[in-house]
Amino acid sequence: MSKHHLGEFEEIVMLNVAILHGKAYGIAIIDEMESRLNRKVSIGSLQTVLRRLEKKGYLESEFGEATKQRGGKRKRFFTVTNFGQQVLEEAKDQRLALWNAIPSIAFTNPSS
Amino acid sequence: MKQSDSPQPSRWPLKFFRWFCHPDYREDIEGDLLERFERRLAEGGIRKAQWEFSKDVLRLFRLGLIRPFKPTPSLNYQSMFRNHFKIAWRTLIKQKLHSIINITGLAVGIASFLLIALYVYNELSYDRYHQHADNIYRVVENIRTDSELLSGATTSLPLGPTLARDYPEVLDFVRIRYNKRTISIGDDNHFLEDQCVWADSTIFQVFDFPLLEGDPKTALTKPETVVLTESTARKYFGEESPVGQSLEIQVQPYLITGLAADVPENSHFTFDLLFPIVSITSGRPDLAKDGWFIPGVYTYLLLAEGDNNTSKIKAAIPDFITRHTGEGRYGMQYTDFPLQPLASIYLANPRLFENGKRGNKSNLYILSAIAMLIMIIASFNYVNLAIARASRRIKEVGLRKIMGVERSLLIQQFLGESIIVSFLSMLSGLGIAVLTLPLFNSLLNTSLHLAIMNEWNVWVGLLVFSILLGVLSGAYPAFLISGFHPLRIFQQSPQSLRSQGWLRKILVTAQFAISMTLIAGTLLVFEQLDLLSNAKLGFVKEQMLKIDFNRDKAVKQHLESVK
Repeated sequence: MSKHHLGEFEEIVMLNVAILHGKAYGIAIIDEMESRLNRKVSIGSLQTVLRRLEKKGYLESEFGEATKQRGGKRKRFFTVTNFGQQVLEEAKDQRLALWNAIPSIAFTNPSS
Repeated sequence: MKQSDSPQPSRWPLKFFRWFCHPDYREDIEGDLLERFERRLAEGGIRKAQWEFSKDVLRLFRLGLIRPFKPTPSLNYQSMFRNHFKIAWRTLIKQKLHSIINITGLAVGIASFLLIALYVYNELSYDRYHQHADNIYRVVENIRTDSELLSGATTSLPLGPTLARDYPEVLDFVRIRYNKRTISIGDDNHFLEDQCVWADSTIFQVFDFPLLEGDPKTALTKPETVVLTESTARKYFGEESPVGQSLEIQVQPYLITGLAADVPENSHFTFDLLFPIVSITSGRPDLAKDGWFIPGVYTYLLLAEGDNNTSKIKAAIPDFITRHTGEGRYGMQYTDFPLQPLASIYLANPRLFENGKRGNKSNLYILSAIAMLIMIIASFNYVNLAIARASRRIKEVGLRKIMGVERSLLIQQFLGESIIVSFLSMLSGLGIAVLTLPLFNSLLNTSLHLAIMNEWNVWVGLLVFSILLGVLSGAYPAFLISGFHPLRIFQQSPQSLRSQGWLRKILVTAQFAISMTLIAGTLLVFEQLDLLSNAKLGFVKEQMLKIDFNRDKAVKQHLESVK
């Protein structure tokens, strides 16, 4: 479905939100991406993507409780919506279909 | 959270972030920023943490995260603005009497201020119209005799030429001498002209007295020639050109060699007929060369451009005196030849034998002070009335606030309203000033005109003043009332709200004090003038007649029979 095209970074952010399952707020997502993918992400680039995804309806968010950390500011926890999950799965299926379509002789030296 | 204990991120990046970030995202992103900052603080130094914090903030400055910069469509603002005008107009109409008193009060104040300002401006403008005004000086003389010190305005004939010869800084000099002449038309018509001036021909180069007809270089070079001003020429020749014709002056025909424009009103000396000074100097070459201590001409110098030329000449004067002048009769000795800048002569303390009319500096100070006082009274009165009116609108403010009007909008509304009113007053003040100017002129025997209005800075001044006054008079309602809590406004007796009367009390007191001073001063001056004109002098003024017979020999001989 080309209508719901996901960018590479968008997809990764959504996957990380899904991994964190209910504990996905800004810093946690960044930490997760750093540890899993060894990828440095600035707050700015993450937040723009998060807001964009939320606007598209792939993610939803709500405030957590205020704590004494973070200058008393509440965290915003993101979760993947059903629609977002659908889009993610579509993306995965498309990738898989593409992988499967590669003839076996194309990659002569597959990583092992 | 105790903020003072733990190190904080740098203030400006945080402020910047709070300013640009979309309000919906602000809280949690700021939380993220702080969390990161705290973590970095634990890992490393505060410097590094703050630096990274600033970098994070900068990276957050993205299109998707910054707030919309037009919070509401501009149309809304426009209609609000129009609404302010509407409300201002309605309040003006609603309280007609109040508005009329308020506006006319200020307008009359402004009109008086403007008229006085015009007068003062005119007094200060004397002689400044000359192109070289800054470089023209009048030389005067201080003489010591055996018994007294004389400071005269006139000098002797050789002073100008000798100064010009000795000092290259003196580019040119003009000597002028006054006398009276009788002009005869036919056998029976004789006119006494008392503004006859004998002058060097350089008068046209040094001063800006334009020659309408004739050659300025040669017009005043030969004896028995004369240059007339426009109005004098009209008197004797009507509209036809006088140049080339002859005029009988003291039973002698004079050739008219030029037609000069009338001397402007704001000149410290004036003339109606110009004669060449050669007719004096050629008759008495000894006086022209060595006639020190015989004052009779006014000497004007044109100095070269340059700041220190004046001081150079001034420093050379003592040497000049010893070299040239020596001692005159009665032990007369020159002590100094002071230089008076041209523009300062009109308002300077008059010396002996002054030429032309003189103004009075202290009068100008007094008038300016009065103008300021009038303006202060008018402004105080205006502000006071505006405040009194504003307190009636507390309820309106309360209602507006309940309807959700922002404080900044209220401030805008009240300030705008009062600026509109002060602007109206300024305009009507201008109108009154223009209308009463002829009356003012005939009262003071002046010929002021509104040329000053052509200068843009006058308009800017008036504009700034009316805005200032508007802000001042609107400040109380704008800043105080708009800050009241709406609930307190609607309480049964808003006593606490009305108690801010100290400002008004001060203004009223000051206003009355100034008015009293002015009235008392006026009465005093009136009494003084009354005394001057009505005091018993020992003779009956109404029965005395003074006739100027211009030293007519016939009158002198038959004095008894004339009596």
